[in-house]
Amino acid sequence: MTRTDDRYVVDHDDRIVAVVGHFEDTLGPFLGHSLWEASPQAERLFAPYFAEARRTGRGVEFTSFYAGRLARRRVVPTGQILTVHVTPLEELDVRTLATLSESVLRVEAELARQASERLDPPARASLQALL
Amino acid sequence: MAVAVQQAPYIVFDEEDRIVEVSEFAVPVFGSFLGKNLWDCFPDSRRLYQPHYTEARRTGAPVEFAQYYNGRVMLVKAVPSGTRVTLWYDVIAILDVLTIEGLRESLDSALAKLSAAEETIRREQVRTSLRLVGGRA
Repeated sequence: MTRTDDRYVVDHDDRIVAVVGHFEDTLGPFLGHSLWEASPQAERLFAPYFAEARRTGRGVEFTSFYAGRLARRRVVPTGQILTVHVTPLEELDVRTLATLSESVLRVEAELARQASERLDPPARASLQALL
Repeated sequence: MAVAVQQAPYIVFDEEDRIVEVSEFAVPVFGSFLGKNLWDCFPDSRRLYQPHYTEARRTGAPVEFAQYYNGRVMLVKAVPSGTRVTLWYDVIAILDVLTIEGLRESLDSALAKLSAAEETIRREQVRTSLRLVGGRA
């Protein structure tokens, strides 16, 4: 997974106003519609980061699992308009129980790694000292 | 737990595992594969399903099993007729891959249903064997 140029743009009401790359297929048909209409259950996952980016005026990065793939999302505000750059990290492989199990483990490991990275350095040092 | 064959979708494949018939309810999944080899269409599924079909053809008796494949848990009944096999199936669980919470819950549920179905089929096989031993088949 090396594609890093997938992105979409939403306006102040989270309506999709532009799509690039992979999103031409998935979100393209929803141009002009709310992102949350096109992406069921995504609002509670993404909206807090969108709000933070708009509130602070600074880019926000987060990693989340959605629609069968784990991806890093970088939200870049321009006023109230947001450009969301998406870098895929892991994809679920549901073909067989073996491939599913392997891919779930990879997703869980990456999520755990990301959670660990979110700990501030002193907290991580304290945890490591305990181990 | 047995596949309700009156309502379940089915396909028929011939001695070379070519799909030669697709029921109305199986068209959404198998319609475009009519006339094609089953294992060319679903190569990953061969080692999961073929042994059951081989057994059905060898014994001449229906074989029922539960299997996970491609995000779904299915109850499958393979009924041999000469070298042809009619495959009835019933989807009993589908993975929800939208969110990680949905994935975890649906995975637990799918695995539980798979185990329960396997256990039910196993018990039914034991009952059938006992009936045969008791001469009540």
